[in-house]
Amino acid sequence: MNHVHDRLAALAAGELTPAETDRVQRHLDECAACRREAAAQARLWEQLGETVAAVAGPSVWPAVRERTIDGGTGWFYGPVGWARRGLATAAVAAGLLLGIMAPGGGIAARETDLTTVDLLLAESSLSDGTGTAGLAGIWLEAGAAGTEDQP
Amino acid sequence: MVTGTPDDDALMARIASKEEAAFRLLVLRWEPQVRAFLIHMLGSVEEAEDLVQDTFVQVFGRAAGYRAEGLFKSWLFRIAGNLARSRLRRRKILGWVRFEFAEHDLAAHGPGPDADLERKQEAERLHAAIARLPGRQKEALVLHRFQGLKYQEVAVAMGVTVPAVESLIQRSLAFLRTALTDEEVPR
Repeated sequence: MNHVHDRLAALAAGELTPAETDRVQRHLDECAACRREAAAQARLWEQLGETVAAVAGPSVWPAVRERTIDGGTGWFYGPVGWARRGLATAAVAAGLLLGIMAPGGGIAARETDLTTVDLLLAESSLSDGTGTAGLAGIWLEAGAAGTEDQP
Repeated sequence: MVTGTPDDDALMARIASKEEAAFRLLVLRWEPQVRAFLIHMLGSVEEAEDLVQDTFVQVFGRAAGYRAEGLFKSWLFRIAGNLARSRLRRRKILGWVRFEFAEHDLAAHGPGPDADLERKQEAERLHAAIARLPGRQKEALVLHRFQGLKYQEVAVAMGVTVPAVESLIQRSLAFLRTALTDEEVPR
């Protein structure tokens, strides 16, 4: 006798085809062990239905709106986000190159950190239409400040 | 029957055009289910809130590439599931998850305080057992039993076959029954 334990969840969920349902039901008519198993699973199934986590918190809409419609991630990952990400990457690369080629032998780690942070902060100015010129300006300004700190 | 409410595929087309009203409607329509799914997956209301936001931010970002095939629900929970799995991986240990039980998680159904207490304790045991389920079993069970996805929809959401979904759900029930039975046996 082939037991049907492995089909009982699908039976309870109404996921079996009519032919499969008939086969399982016929087996249940004849098999006490499978009937007990089916009854136990049905009780658990009911219990699960009564314990759905219904947590009603405040809507995430304002935060999601801020991150998408208002700019934020929408600007960076939107339809032309690839172009903006490419632009930002190119600006970082250009900045690093400028720093390495600068008189004085390159950029110290501390300066790199400073300018990278500034560059990330400058993303918002890009979205306002400042463009690459604005980014380069910020980069050079930060680089100059860093050079002054050199012994 | 014609209703005035646009379906999810129609909303996604409008969201691809950056229409705020459509996006707002979609978020308000689905956030309770996404929140409940993520709470079950992560066992933490606070972490779930973060990922609910992230899920809809990704929906917005990917709207232009969405294909209207009537599978929005699967697509949405695939995003949420990926985020949840990623978060769980970051925790490194899947097993420590404990379901945070807030008072409002359990609505009062019973006729009196004793029945309420008993029901609440049963639900707590069950939730604790669900939290200990292996990740894929938990995801399949939650999507199917709690979020109402059909096996086919769960299969699409999880990127597996329908028989695999059936197997995952069957094994999750076996796990839960064993876990609940073991708890009842005095040691």
